[in-house]
Amino acid sequence: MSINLTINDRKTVLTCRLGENVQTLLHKLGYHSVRNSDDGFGFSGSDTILVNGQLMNASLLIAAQLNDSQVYTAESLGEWNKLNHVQQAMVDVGVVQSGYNDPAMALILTELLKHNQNPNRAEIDDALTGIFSRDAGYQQYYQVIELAVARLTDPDLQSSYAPEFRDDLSFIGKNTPKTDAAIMVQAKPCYVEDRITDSACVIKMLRSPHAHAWITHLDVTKAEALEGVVTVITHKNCPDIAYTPGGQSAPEPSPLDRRMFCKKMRHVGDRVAAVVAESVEIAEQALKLIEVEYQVLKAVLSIDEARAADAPIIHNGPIEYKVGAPDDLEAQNANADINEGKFIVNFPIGCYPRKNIAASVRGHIGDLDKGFAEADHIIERTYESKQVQQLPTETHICYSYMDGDRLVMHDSTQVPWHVRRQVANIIGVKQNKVHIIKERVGGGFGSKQDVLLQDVCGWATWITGRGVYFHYTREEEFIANTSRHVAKIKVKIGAKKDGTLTAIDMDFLANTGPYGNHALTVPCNGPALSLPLYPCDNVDFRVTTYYSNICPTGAYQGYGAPKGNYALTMVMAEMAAELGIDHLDMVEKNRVREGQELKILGAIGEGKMPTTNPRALSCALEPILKQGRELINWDSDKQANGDWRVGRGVAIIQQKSGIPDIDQANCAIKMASDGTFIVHSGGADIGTGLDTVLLKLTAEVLCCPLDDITVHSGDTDHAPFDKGAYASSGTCFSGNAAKIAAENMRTKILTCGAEMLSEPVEDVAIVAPGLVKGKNGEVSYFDIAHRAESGTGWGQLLASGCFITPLFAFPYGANFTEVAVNVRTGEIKLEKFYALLDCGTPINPDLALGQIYGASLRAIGHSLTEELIYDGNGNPLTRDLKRYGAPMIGDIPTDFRAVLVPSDDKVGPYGAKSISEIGVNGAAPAIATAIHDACGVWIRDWPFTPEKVLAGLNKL
Amino acid sequence: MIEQFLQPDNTVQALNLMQQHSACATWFAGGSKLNAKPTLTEKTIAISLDHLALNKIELQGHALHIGAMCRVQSLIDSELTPYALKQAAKFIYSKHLRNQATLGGEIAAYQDESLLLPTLMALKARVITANTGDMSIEEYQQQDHRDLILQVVIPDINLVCLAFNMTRSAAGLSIVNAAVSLSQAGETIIAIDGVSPRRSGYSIPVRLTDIEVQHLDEEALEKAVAQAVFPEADIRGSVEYKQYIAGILVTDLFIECQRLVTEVK
Repeated sequence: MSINLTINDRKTVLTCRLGENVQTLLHKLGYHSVRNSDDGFGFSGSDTILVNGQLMNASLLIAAQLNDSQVYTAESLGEWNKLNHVQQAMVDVGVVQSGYNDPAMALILTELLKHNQNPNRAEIDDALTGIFSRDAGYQQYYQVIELAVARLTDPDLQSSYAPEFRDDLSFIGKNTPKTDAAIMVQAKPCYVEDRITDSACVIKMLRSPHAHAWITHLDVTKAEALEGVVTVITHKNCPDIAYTPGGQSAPEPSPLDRRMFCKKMRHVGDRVAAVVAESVEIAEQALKLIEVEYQVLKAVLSIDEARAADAPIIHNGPIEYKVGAPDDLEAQNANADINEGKFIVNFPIGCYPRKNIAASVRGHIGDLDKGFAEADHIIERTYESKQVQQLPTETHICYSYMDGDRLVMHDSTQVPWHVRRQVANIIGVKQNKVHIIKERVGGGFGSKQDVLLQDVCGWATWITGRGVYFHYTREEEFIANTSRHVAKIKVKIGAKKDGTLTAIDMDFLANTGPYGNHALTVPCNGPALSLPLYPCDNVDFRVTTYYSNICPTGAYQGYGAPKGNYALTMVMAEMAAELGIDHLDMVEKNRVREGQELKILGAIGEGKMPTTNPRALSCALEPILKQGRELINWDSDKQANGDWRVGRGVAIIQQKSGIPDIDQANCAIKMASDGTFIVHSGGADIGTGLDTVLLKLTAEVLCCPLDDITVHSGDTDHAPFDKGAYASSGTCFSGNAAKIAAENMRTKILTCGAEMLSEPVEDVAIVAPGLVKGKNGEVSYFDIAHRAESGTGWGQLLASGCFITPLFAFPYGANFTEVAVNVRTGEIKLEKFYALLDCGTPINPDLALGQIYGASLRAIGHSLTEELIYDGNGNPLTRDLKRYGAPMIGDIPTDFRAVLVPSDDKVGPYGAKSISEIGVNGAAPAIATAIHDACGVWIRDWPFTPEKVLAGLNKL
Repeated sequence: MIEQFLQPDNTVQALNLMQQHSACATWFAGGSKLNAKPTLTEKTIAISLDHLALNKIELQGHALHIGAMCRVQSLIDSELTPYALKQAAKFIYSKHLRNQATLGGEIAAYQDESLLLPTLMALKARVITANTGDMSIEEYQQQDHRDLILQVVIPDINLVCLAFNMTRSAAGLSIVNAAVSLSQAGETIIAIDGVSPRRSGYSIPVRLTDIEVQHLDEEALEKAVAQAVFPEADIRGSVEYKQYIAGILVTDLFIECQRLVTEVK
């Protein structure tokens, strides 16, 4: 049928089925801004378009509704390479991070300002009710509007919305537009979905409806016979390779406990069969033709169920060790079942699969008994955190095809090199036959650190020769993605009457679900990123991670820190209350100091123990706590208002900036023929602005304009190795590698420049903008490049840098909160949330603030509204954003502030430390302690709901 | 998938089309539910109501006549809409959805949560349908086959009425959605959603008619409401919580209505 309409002022005739979904239709037509993030649930707004003057979700419209209509997409904003006032304000304020929803956001804000040139907060909040901002946390959009409104009358207005740092430097510490912000906000092709060709096949996965079951019968012949089905992959025809989805350092400190497809189903959503077909419709039809029968087994859902003596065993395949096999391995394998697939352990990680233990470890310092004996008061409490989801707006996606005898994969990943290694291993080729191209990533937050689709997609291409893509639905994000581990943490602490801690004993139990990716390292970081905040001479901790049949867990921003920090901060607050001490005073008394040795960290490794006890080489907690106390008026009265009671809370936090002695980053720089530079970094920018960090570091060293440098990153063919975007390593590791490479380039430039000037190298220096200046003259980078490439030159100037370190660079911070709790309804209002963070020298202050706002709101969501919930059979009930409780603009704190408090770190480049993860670590305890301060209720498990408040008040 | 999209120009044509295609046809208003994944229609013929001129909001005396095709957002934007109905319209969190969804569709659709219905019930709204004429919201909801709605009439826009929707997150599931109205003569209506057993998975808001006539004091009203509702435990909360919060919400709304009535006097 023909539909006549106008799209972005162009008359168009669409030939399509009347019932065709408008989002699919417009995206296919090349309107990349009209994206799918929720499969037609009308929640996330990635698909926002303007229809006859009204903003709507394209995925809730069918083609017939567009007949004779006027449609505008975000592509209508601005002009070629010229942003409109709202888009420009978004770039200038620094709000564009992963960018997936930002074209839609620009359309919404432009429409708002078209009708209301001075909107108040309520009007802005209402306008943004239809769009999900997982990365930015909404707060900076108020500034975007302020700037865009101001520019309506003063188009040239320059206004800064973030402080700047380091007067001694040209680019570092200054606000600079993110290098990819403009293309993102204009919806120019930059994501994997934008690269998929019309001829590509699609993968649709048949998934297990049971949490724990054997496949007893599987027949795919009818599906294979359907025209348009290219192949069907199952446990019968997939590679027999055991691997871990965890994209971690190799060899991985996670058990290799899964196969591409298994006969045994270990969670609802586990893979049964992948249909590779020529269209989504055909693939979905084929799924219905697959015959499968199951023998349902008893599901294990909780830590307590997993550790029960008679618990069903989740992994009973034959166990192999690469190194360090235990003496009783033969006994462990006595009743192994090969049908479960091999279970390989790279090196000892305390893994006891027959006890449902994926990993375990113990560490201790001092004498715990002595510490408790010295205490005037001892308390012991148990805290629980629930399973929560990263919710990237761009769901997981990859697209692969053959280029000659090589597999090329466009991927939305945090770890291109780990993907290459894993995919090559699984399909059985050497790594030079696999080329991973990391595209812009529409949100990762840890979930794209794992290999969740790439193995099947790559294999499908490898065996068929066809281009194939695999794009998760939102439901698949909830049932077949990784998520935050469930944790149950028992903490016992002893303290003197004055609040001085004498002993800490932490028993950290985690539920990893069906597979053990990150089973050692995430839970280990619970104690590792909380205990060092309160150095104590007598500490013991145990970490045990259990298998179960809940949906998979893995890496999530903060790693184990949010859980460990919640438990430790809460027990400290409970101790302070029992001792009659102000919680903040107790934090101040016990907190880590700059320069302090962190003995407990000497007892914790991530697959490798530190060679010496780490130190807090930089720490701005002193000014942070002082400033936070003043900002929130910590010591002022709290006035009740009717049934509303006011309370304040605090939590200090820390993270790392990469993993010393394990992580490595590399960078290469080449000088182009005109003296500009191409930087090839292995780092993976996942929306955090890493490419911009690398650009600025290079420019700072080479004293040249930012525009003279282009960063090419995350491409395994065209950049050197980098561990990837995890462990908060980007700025410190990838950044330092770029800085070292730039310094090596500077050395070469100086040598060449000195030769051209006929002066000793020690007499010449690099000066802006891109010159080598001697005592008697100067020569430009252009001239040097020209000479270098001439028949009598030195050859193109190339330099590289590699960064490794045995030292930690810890970012620190604190969250201060003020809540109002209604003692009649149990409602909790987050009135104030102040996140003060020390990331050393903030390289991009405005982007750093955005990172803090986004992370804080994700953590607020985990604390108050988000939760994966199951029925008694392990069937997840929260499979869409609404049921799950994803926070929207109406959930942000009334007064929401991010504050940068600098320090000078010796490890990071120009004193910089990480900012990306730390922001999620403190919201839960800061809010929970504030709730107690308001109404006297300790809530010891996430999320903090009105029902729990009421139960605590004995009203239910 | 919708294969035919019929656009009748008047109600008679529309009814005839439905009679012709009843087995595979659906009324099609804004499409926010028929096109949405969780409630995607399996019908192949859409009979669009777009050309039936059902999108007016008119005041006739004290009665407000609202065309069934009025978008939910237009209720918020109209000066004529009673405050409580504007409140309820905003319970649909996304403005994009409010721009698309129609008042008639919100009443006629079988939904997981009925965000506007308690308020319409408390406002004593009448539904004018194409076949069976005038009926209350409750009567309409009880029909086996929900008839085409042409208009919704709110008989007295001055009726004091307030509503509250309890959710865990701004755009999250409704836990309890209550509305209370109080006339100058003291007549009370209490309507509530989320606390009664579902019918085939769909929400059925109820009126607490027994309690409405009892004129209870604050504490007694709380208890009576809590005891009069029969929620199911689910991901929104426990039975006890829903009963408790239903009592609290209704009582708080009633007290506020009493204050407003007194102010008007």
